[in-house]
Amino acid sequence: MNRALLYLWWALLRRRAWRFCRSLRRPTTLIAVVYAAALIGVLFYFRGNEVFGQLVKRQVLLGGALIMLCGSVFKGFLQRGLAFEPADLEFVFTSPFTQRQILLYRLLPLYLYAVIQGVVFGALFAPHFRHPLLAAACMTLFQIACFHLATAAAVFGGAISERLHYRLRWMMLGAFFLLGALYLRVEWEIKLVPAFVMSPLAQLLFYPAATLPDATNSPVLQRWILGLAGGGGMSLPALLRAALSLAGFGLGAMVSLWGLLRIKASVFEPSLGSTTRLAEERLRVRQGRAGSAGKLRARSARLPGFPLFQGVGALVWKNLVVARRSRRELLVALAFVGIYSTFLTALLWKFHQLETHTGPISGQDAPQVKLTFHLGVAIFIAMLAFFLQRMFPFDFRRDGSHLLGFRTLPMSPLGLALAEVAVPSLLVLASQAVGLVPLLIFARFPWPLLALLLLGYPAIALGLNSVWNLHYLLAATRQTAGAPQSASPVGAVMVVALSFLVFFPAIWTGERLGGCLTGPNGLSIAIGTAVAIQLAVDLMLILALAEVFQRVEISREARGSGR
Amino acid sequence: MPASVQDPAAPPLATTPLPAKLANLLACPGEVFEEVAAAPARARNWLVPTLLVALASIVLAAALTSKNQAAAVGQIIEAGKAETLPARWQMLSAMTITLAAFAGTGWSALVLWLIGRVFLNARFSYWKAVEVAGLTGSIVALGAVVTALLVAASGDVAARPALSLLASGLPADNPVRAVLGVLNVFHLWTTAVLAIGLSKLSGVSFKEAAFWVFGYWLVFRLALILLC
Repeated sequence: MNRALLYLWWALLRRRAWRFCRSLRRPTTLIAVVYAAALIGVLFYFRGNEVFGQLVKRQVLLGGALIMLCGSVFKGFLQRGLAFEPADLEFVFTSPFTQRQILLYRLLPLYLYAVIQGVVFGALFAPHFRHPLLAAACMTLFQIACFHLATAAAVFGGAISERLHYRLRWMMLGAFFLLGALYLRVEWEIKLVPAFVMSPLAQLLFYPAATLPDATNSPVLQRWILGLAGGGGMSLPALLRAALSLAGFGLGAMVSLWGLLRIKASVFEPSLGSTTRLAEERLRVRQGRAGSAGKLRARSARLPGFPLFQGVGALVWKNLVVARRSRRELLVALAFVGIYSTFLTALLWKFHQLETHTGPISGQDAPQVKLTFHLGVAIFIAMLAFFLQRMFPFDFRRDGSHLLGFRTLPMSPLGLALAEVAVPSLLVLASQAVGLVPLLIFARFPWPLLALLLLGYPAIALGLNSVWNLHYLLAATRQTAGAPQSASPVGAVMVVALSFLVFFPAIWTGERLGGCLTGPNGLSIAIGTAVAIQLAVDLMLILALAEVFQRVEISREARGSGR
Repeated sequence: MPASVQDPAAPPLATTPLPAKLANLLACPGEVFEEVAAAPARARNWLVPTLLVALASIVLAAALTSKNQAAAVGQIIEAGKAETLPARWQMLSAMTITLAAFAGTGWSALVLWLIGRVFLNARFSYWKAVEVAGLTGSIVALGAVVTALLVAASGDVAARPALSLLASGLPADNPVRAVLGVLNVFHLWTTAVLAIGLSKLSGVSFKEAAFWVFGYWLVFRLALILLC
């Protein structure tokens, strides 16, 4: 290994580490790192669990090794040549380094990765190995061997012709498939091959490398032939009828095709129009703009004189108009709510029917059981908000592209944030009401509890919409500033995790109070406290939304003046 | 050169008669398939050898009176169709074999065509693949005759010109015997000839064609026996 290249690698590694540390200033990166660290921490804490022991069984390890090996070779082969940094092409390739030195330089980061992987593997699975250090070292060396194979495959793949590469790719896939099937058969006793493949008739699949009398020595085939020859109960008239039916349908198909081909109208011009329409429709769906071109040309709706829709309320009115025109989204949501609510109503009805037929639930805990059941249904209805939030895109998802326009409007950031989350929250609440009505009829909650439940639903809807709108707003500001749109799955997973976490303080407090407080009002106090905490969290989220909107404006101004 | 590419200005190729083709296939299959690839598709190239295979296989079936076949007949008799059987059994067996020969030719041609199209990225007519599979039938016919002679000579209906001859003591459903049975001399020969045919049709080297042909006709078959 050349010392200059070693130094270069070390310098680049240090710079990357420094950049990574600096990137932790960004909340999204920090949350992602904390999330990953917490995950590893949790896994490390539970490393003695039996589940981990199952993961290092011989079969699992062998399967993992097979996947690593085959995956490395195939990935490298598909890559066709080694991937370097653009700067490396200019500096390393033009410098007097041998090919071997450049290869080693390329492998150095991979070696580091293998070592880290070995350490994590050893730390997590140490309790289940007799010699954990040896296992970690073997894991590291095996990973390094896989990297070598991948690199060799990449170099080889880059040196052969496109045609040969195409064929070898299929050969490798075929070989891997056989290897995988053999592994499943030997290690897990899973038979991918159905039993009928071993019947004599299946030998025909390998004709001409088959002995025909052996292949036809199948009772199924002989019975079929017997039937075809008229000895199996099918008489000649029946055979004729079958043939006539087949001929009749065949003739019908031929005649209809003949008629179709005789049409002299031009196919191309109308097809052009319909194809263009379809392409536009697809593009709109891909960009998240629903509705057809015709719907977009709908006449404008007059702003009502109602005071609620004045000022920042006009934004709410605008989103309501958009929602009214998005019939497709509303119909899908309606169908979903219908199915969901029907299921819950059926559950309630069945519970009460059972109670009617078999008599009320006896025992001291009977009221508690009924209350728990009805609260469970109420929680299910609350969970509807998680599914529906994505179905009502009448917030920053659509308005993200109008951020600069919003800046010119005479409204406060807080008002704007509230106006943006208002329509999806209202629609979620309206949908939840469909399921809530039967629950209230069947459950007959006490008034204090009922009031708290009814307050709880808006708190949930508002919290959920605020979290997601925070995400949409951040994405929109990046897009407006010209940065590439980041729609990474990790980001989406983080938002999903956060949309659950915002309810954690309220749920935790409610659960603790519910456990501590006894008596008739204990549950009401616990739920009331939880709702109050959730409303406080919602308020903080809305304020955060307004703050982000305001900060974006300031940063844009600063950037503009800087130029 | 792939079969689909043909120079229209080139003079018409001298065609070998079919009996000569069938005989040449045993000795120099590459030349036969080169001619097949260059000439337009002819139905007799696959019809005649397939009928020959059917005829030879019927002769072989007559020589074989295996216990399995008797069991199959017994099953049908139990099913209540005994009155239809005795007179027509030989005819039914012949019909089955003839149908199987044609179905097998069509199927093996389809496999060859798909291998060429998908894995070798070569385009040739399906009917060319049918001709290759059909002509290979001359080896199958020879194999059937040899097997019939072997059965007659040894008196063992399970005798085949394969490595399974070495394990005649093992029961018929034993996987080892099944694997050895796959290594039939004539099966290996036909597979090699199919590989030559595919290489001529698709314009690839014999090694590449052999990978897929042996992969399907031999390795896949052995793997199925081992995986079941």
